[in-house]
Amino acid sequence: MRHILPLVGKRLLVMRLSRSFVIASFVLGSLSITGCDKSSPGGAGGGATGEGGAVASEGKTKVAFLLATLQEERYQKDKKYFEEKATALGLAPFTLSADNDNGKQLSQLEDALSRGAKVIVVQPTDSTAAASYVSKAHAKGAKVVSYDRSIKSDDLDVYVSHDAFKVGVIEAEEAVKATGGKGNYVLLDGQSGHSVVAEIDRGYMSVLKPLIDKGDIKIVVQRNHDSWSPEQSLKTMEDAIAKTKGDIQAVLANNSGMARGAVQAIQAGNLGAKKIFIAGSDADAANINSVCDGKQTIEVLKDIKPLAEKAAEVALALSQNKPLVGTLPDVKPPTFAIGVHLVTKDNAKAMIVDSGFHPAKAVPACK
Amino acid sequence: MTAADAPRSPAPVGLREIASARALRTVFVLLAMWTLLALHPESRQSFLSAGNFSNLTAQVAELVIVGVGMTLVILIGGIDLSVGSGMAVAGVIAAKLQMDMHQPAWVAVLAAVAVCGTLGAWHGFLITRFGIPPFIVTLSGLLSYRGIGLVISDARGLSPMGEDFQKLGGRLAPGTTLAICAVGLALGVIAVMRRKARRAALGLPSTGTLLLALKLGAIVLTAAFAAVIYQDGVPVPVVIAALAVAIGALVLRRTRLGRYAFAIGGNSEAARLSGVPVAKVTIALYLAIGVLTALAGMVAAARTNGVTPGNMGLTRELHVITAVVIGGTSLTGGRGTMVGTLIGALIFGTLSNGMNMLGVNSNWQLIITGQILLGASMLDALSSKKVA
Repeated sequence: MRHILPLVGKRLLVMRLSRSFVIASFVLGSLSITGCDKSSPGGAGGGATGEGGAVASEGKTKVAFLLATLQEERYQKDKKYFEEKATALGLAPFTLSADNDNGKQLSQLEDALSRGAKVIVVQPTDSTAAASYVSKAHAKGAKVVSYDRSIKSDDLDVYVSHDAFKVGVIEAEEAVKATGGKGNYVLLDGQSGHSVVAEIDRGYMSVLKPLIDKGDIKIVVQRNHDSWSPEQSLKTMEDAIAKTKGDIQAVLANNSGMARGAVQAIQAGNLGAKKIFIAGSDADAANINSVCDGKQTIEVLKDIKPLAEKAAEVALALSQNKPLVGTLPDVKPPTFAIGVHLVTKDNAKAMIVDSGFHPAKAVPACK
Repeated sequence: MTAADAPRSPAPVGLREIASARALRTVFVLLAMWTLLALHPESRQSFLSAGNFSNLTAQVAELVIVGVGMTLVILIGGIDLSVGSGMAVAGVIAAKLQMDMHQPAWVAVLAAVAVCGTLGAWHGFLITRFGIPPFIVTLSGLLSYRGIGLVISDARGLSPMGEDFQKLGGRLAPGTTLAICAVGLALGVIAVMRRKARRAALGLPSTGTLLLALKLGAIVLTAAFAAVIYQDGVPVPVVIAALAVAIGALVLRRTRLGRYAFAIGGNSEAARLSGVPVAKVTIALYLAIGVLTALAGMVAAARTNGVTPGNMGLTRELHVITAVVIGGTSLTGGRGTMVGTLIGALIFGTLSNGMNMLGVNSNWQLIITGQILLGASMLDALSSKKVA
């Protein structure tokens, strides 16, 4: 035991306490800075939630928008359009994102319910595990809208999604057209356990199955990619090229990020001249640009605005206990399937730039 | 320890003990954060609700459980990077046993604990027998266990878990909860009074009255706080976490194993030369973190009522290390407390819960959390230099 004079003890105490205050103020400072940052109107990638913050939310119905991730280009749009529409409808929306982590999303759901959210619009990180969200929300008297991906629960209130099956159909039909219905195909699937992955694949197979059975088309590689990782898909594609010695005719990807991985691998493998068919969906700017300069063949546009705005409208209706009738008849829960569109080199400018989906400077190759 | 070491009057002992409690500093940070969230216009209505505190503690339970193990291995200068993947393996094993083989929950839990405990002991063996750095041994675990989880499950999400298993993520009855709070209160008071009595018996300077009052006050306050926030019943994960911290603290302060751990962390070679069974202790502590990892995996699987092998526990090892470091445990070993880890985990959880309440963009949340870790360690480093 050290010999410490009372005086030193006191000084130590003062020093340690002051240090704790330094840490505290540091933590508090950063929290309040971001709190303020959020309330400044129109921050980068921000939405309308911040505006007015608590003042605006006083008395308004709180709606939580829980995204699986904000780490991809398109989800910034989901957030923006949802928040704008919901605010315009007189709701008080706030957005949280779970970085593709089930546990984190569950925590965010609990936090949202604590904050008093009456409607939870959630893009589940995992369709099966998310069933517990519904019971938790219902226990607190809140409603659940499954957004973009389904939740496997019979008690779910509403499902709003793009027509993922159609995405698969469009990609596969275009591939069959481009390859004459023959050759080696690579299928790049998203994270396993996602309803969208299953639906897009069902769409692929509805077109390809007869040709596969006939032996005209061969699926040389098909695999899931955790977190829909473009890096993983790049590796998958490199391996597929090595495995087939470059004898690949078509690549169908569940999203834009993984299609980029494929484009990358094919360019790096000096197979650009082979004009391998590559399809993705989400219409990220980088992919649209690749479509325009010929490195990628097609993208499927899942327009975010109608999806996000429909979700906001549904949230309003739920908060007012109005009955909902989905676009698909006799499906329970009520389901709204939002249309999807084919984007090619020829219509890219009209579909993407003129519609305002991406600014012209984000897709310089599209003229 | 000689008489000359004893300070001249009892009062400074109290002050010095307060001052030297690293945990105390972090408690202040935590209370300051809670105060801010209780006052902030955006969060004040929701943050201070019993339901939210109950959630917050259930959310950090899994961090705390693994954190207890992480504190043990970091104390001896080790590390365990495999815990996130270990949780996934534990979750997959438990889910498979229940879904495919229709086993009851206790079989699933025991199997997961046995597997992860064995893996932990294996880590300890590799480290001591072959001298492979713990970082490498457990990094290899991080990669391979994720893969094992994916292979066993065919990379498919597994859900739902059995009815009995789901209780692990549920709550105890309110009556039981009150009883637990009362027992906790009694045990806390007894521990403090016994410590005082023992110091007196050993002829050590008695604990200052002020400090004694503060300690008892804190225990009473905590018990009362718990009784209030868990009025709807305490979440089972919180009970498991509390037990883990209590047992961990007891092991560190009261057992030979705990003293050996500090000795190895202070100077491994010196400890070995003075007869500390370094290899045995190392293996035991890695076994402990394996068992705790499995328990955390059970809690996570029960709370989400499912296991997604690809992302369950992903980067959790880093969250746990963050919480342990914020809690004042030195990454170089030899210094750390369980209570510090508990507070560190609560700070980490409060950050995320608070930023959710404030509606901070999640990409910003990553930046802020990272910078706070850096800030906390920097202040810690600066201060320990000064003190030393």
